[in-house]
Amino acid sequence: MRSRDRQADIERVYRERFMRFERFARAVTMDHESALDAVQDRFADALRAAGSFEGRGSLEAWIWRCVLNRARKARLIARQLPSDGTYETRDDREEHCGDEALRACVAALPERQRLAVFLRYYADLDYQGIADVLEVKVGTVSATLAHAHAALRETFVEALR
Amino acid sequence: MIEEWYDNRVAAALDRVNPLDTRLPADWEDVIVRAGRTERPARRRRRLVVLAAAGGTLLALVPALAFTSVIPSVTDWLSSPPAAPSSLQSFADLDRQAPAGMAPDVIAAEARRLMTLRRSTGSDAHLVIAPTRSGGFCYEITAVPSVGCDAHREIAFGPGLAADNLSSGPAVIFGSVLMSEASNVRIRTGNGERRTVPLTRVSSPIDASFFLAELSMPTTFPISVDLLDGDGLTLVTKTIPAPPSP
Repeated sequence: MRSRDRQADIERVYRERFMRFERFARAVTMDHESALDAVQDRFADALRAAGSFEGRGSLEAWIWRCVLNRARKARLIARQLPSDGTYETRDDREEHCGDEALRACVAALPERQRLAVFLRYYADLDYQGIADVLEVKVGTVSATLAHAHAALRETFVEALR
Repeated sequence: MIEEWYDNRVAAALDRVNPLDTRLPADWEDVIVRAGRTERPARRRRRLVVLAAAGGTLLALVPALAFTSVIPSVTDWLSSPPAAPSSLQSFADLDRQAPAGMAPDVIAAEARRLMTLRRSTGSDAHLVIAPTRSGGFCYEITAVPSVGCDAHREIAFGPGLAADNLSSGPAVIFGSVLMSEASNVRIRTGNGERRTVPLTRVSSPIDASFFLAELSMPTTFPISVDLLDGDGLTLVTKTIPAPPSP
């Protein structure tokens, strides 16, 4: 594939999926500005490195992986504690029973479980897509999400008692 | 069944605590700009600035393009000739006349003449560049004349247009480019005419590309300037609007 074709593909992925990239990066970084920078910078990097993509796996998975790595780095730099669960952005958010507990529970999940949840719910990727991004087998994704769901279900059970 | 109910509640809660932000517009142009930056951009997106004519220079109009060749295209900063005293004075005036806190901090004494444009009037217009202390540059287009700065290397692509006189022209279109993968600019006037002009890369400490060309009078606004990579792919498009009515 020629470089310009790949650049056109990158632009298409960006335009079609921008909001989901931003939402996912926001969940990882817990900061709106850092999330936006992660998405914009990584797409810029992808454009520069378009010729180096070797075609193993999908282009979109490659970009998701780039954004994920950048967001994780931003998160480490920010050194924000995960326990406050401040990855929402709207001040007019209506509180629901269990939301606070869920934030804390998500933040406390092992990283792979947390990222799998984010990729499933915020990036809207299927199991194969999540496996491509996390570079694990589909069965591992299935098991990881099952563990995460169990923990999150337990949070709701406790919250509703 | 119970598990499904809980999973639906989890999904709804995840949606509430980190909602999709539909108010945030995608900004592909910003991605393009970041791809070409040599330094990491500030956290906030920057709006690119279209460099306007300065110092009594008037923007000019033209429907037909008539470019003349650039002779010669110099790329090596160190081997370029020093600027004429009048240009040194222009750069020095930039700092002296700038509002408080706005001086570009240009090193006027190091100004050099980089490009020469043979104009249809028979006179030459020179592109003269001087570095700034913060790693950017200021430049002057002599004969038109016009001056501009990217003092802190913040303008990835900044085209501008200048003319001696609004009604008699001819106008000079020019600009600076920081994006290293850019090769050419394609200039399109409002009446559909177009022309591609190569960029001239200037070596360190300037480390930027420039273009300089003449348009014949009159032109039709807006003028679109596409920045193209080596494959002819458009990296950024900037538009020069019609000047305000006098």
